Amino acid sequence: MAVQSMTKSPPTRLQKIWNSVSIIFDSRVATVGMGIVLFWLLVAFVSLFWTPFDPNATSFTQNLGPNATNLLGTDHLGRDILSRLMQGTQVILLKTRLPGTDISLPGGVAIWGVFGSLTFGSVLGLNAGYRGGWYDQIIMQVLDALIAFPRIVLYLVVIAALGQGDLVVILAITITGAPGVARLARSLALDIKTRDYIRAAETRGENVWYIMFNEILPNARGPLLVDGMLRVGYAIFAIGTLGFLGIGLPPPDPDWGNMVNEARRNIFANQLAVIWPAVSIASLVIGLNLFADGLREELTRYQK
Amino acid sequence: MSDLVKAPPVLKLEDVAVAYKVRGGEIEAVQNVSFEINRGETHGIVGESGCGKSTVAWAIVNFLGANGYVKRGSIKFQGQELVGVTGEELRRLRGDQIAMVYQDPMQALNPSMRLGDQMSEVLTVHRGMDQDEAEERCIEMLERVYMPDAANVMKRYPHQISGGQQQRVVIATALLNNPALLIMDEPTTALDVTVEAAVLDLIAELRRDFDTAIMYITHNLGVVARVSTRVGVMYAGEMVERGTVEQIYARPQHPYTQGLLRCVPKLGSDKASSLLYPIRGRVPPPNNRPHGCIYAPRCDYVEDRCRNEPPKLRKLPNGIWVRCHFAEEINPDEWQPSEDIAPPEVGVADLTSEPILVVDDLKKYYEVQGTELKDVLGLSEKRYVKAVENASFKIPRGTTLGVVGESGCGKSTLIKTLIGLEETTDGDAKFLGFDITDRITEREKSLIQELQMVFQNPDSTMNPSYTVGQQISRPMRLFGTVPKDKLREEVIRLLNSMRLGENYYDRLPRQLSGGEKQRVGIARALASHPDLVLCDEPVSALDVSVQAAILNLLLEIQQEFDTTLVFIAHDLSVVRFFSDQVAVMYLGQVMEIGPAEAIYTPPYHPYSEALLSAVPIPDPTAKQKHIRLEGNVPSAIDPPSGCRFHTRCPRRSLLPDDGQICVTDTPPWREAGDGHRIYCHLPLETLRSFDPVISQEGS
Repeated sequence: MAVQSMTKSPPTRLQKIWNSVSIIFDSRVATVGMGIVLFWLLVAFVSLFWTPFDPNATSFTQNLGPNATNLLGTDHLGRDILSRLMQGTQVILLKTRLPGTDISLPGGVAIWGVFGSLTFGSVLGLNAGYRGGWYDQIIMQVLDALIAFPRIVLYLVVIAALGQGDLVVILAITITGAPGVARLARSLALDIKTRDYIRAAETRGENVWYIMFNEILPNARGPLLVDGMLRVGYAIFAIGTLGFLGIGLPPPDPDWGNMVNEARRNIFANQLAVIWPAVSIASLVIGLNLFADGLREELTRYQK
Repeated sequence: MSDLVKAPPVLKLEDVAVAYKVRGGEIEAVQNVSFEINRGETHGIVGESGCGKSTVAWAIVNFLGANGYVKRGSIKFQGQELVGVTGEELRRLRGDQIAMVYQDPMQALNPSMRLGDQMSEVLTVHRGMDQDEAEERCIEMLERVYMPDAANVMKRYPHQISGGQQQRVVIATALLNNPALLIMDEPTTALDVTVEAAVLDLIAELRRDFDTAIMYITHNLGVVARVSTRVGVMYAGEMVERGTVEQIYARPQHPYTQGLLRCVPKLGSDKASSLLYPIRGRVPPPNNRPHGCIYAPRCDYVEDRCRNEPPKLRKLPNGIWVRCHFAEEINPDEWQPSEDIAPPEVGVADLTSEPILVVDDLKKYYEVQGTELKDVLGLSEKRYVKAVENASFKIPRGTTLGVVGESGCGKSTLIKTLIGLEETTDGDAKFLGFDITDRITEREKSLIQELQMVFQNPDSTMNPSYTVGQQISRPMRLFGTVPKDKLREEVIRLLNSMRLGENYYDRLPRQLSGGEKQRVGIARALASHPDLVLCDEPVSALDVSVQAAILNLLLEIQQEFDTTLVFIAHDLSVVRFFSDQVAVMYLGQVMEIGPAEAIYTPPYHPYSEALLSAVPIPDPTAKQKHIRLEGNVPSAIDPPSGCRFHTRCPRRSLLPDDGQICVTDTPPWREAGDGHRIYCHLPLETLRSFDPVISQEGS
């Protein structure tokens, strides 16, 4: 027996990982999306160690167009736009600043916000879907009520109550994202709970939480992760919106939304200063969307 | 041969190969298939799942999808080549000359259109008939397929008629254009046996009357024996044998056909004929077929030549076409089962020993929520689905109770109630002396451990996210039956007794075949060493060769662990050999219960008799009584008064007053001795006087 399995040479761990990753490349859409996302991640990492100039130094002439020194030009205070754009990726993707200290958590505001909505959403959704009955009624009615509020109003309420800060933005993203995740998790749980292996767990007398998190959740993982990736895109959008309204991520780090807002006032003097951060937001969001869409398509095709 | 010029066959396939383009290459799903069908002939195509039966049918009508195409060979329909024909021409042919009937009638019918509109569309589009005339033809055709109240059915929507009636509508629609070729792909698989029997009768009759050529695809050897004139046996994408029904069943030439026939339960009168011999191994996947004979790895007669040289389909002197090098030399009568597939010896179970499960007058009702405002407010009278009514039985330790009945008869509800997934409405159930009428959440852990379950669907019985080892060891961990450091050892021991072996420990469910998944499901149920295992149709979703292996495995395990089993099935022939006691259920009511042999011989309950006569038997020479039940199973919300079976009972007229008593009074339990009890108004003497349902020709 052992000899036989030797001759077949079972795939190594590396091969297995490669096999599961390689479906990304079967979809052109996902490959392009991943390329864009990887580009911005690379920019973020580089900016940790090096930017062309200090992003907050006002050492250049104001409202310069692109030139040999300042590749993307300068803004209304004479800061280098390229450096600011690069630094701006950090708060979104790489670090969360804790208020009152100099310490930063790894993982950007968008990432933590989505992580929060995935966690809350799936706990609520699994409970609603698997337990059903009154649990379902109450959880879903409350979440529906939450969805009924316009998003911007919700953001404003949260920030007005808790003040500005990275953690508050994370909380705002979590609260607005959780209902959507919960709906998805609920529908997945409703489907999965009819399977025989759930019946088998019940006839073993398993605990409700074990069934929800160990039997149902692992099988709902795929769609939830794809949804999460789309949500990172929405979260970046939300951060941009908040920054534009002037209630987003606090200084000193540059924030893309805030950059658009400030440059907007000088739009007749320097149009490009608005365009650069706007294009950055759009490209990152589009990249994430393409990646998630392509991946979802490939994953569902793989199952057939 | 005669000098008459023969008309070309309606359908002629020559050396057809169908390939699908897939990720990283191409898969030849079907290779070298040739056969022909003449007018007025039913050609059965039989084989296990995944052997390419449906692919052949799709190739004929070019429904192969975007990635499939006919790679080689020719398909001639009435002398006209079909390969390469596309577009309008093909569309006209499909609607006009070739008709198809598929497995699930609910998917063939558009749920948002009235049946009449769907049917008459065939005539108005293809024949250019006007609406009134078309409708008239449709009504005629519906009457032709014995649809009661045809004119009214035209105005209904698909969900308003039953599954058997839906399939009749599909068949009627297929026949509207008087097609030259009718392709039927498992048309009765989704139906209950009694309904299936009536549809099969209909198909046989229509072939005679319409002189249509029928290509009948099925996995069920019994069904083929009943409807076909000629049969082709397919295996792993190739046709391995072809001949008339009588030839194939009486003297199969290919080792695969022989093996297949040995693993089908026969429903004969003696117990020995129900012994099952599975085929070892599994069907090779299409991208990894052996070089020589495709059946070589599983064949008992394999020789070196088989491994190196693929055999050709050749005609034997007796007219059978067979794809085997040694067909003449193989004598199936001399075949002896090798050790690994021999069925276990089964002793006679002691039905008098102390019962492990005692169920007395068990009832399970579901409350029905009405849709009127009054119902929502709770003001109207409560209505119930009476899913299980007055079930009473005892199961002695180490024996098997088979529960048989058509869908909706309450057999699944019965075991769900026993295991505690549903609460008992009324009555008594004692397991090992403990009360089990409560829900599982209220039971002691030690009691849960003793009562486990095996499920029906192999694809959903295992959690796709965990390995085999993790899933089998979970109950051991949960109940603490095995110390932590011995877990792996114990799981492997259990895997070995399932004949799976250690290398399955780290596999994921998607790497297993259906039969293997089912084995793991059984291992998981046995992991906590339960006293009683409830099996909910554990083999009904499996192929016959796998089914035989699983049944033999369950028998073996029962002997090894002295486990008591409750075995649910819709197929009477499956439980025949397997059970010590059999209970026949209809509409929530146990109609007959007794030792297994007693159920299959007179005295019968009229319902058991009808069930037995409906089961398709894989033996064209067997004589079977012709009893067909009328109408549909009534709703369980308002079950018929008196005897629940009285609306369809073919034997009611034997009672005075045309059986008025059946309508008014509930029947008494007639004791026929040996614990054999029949729930019927007919006196025992009358029930005894019935002829046996199945008899061999000549005997």
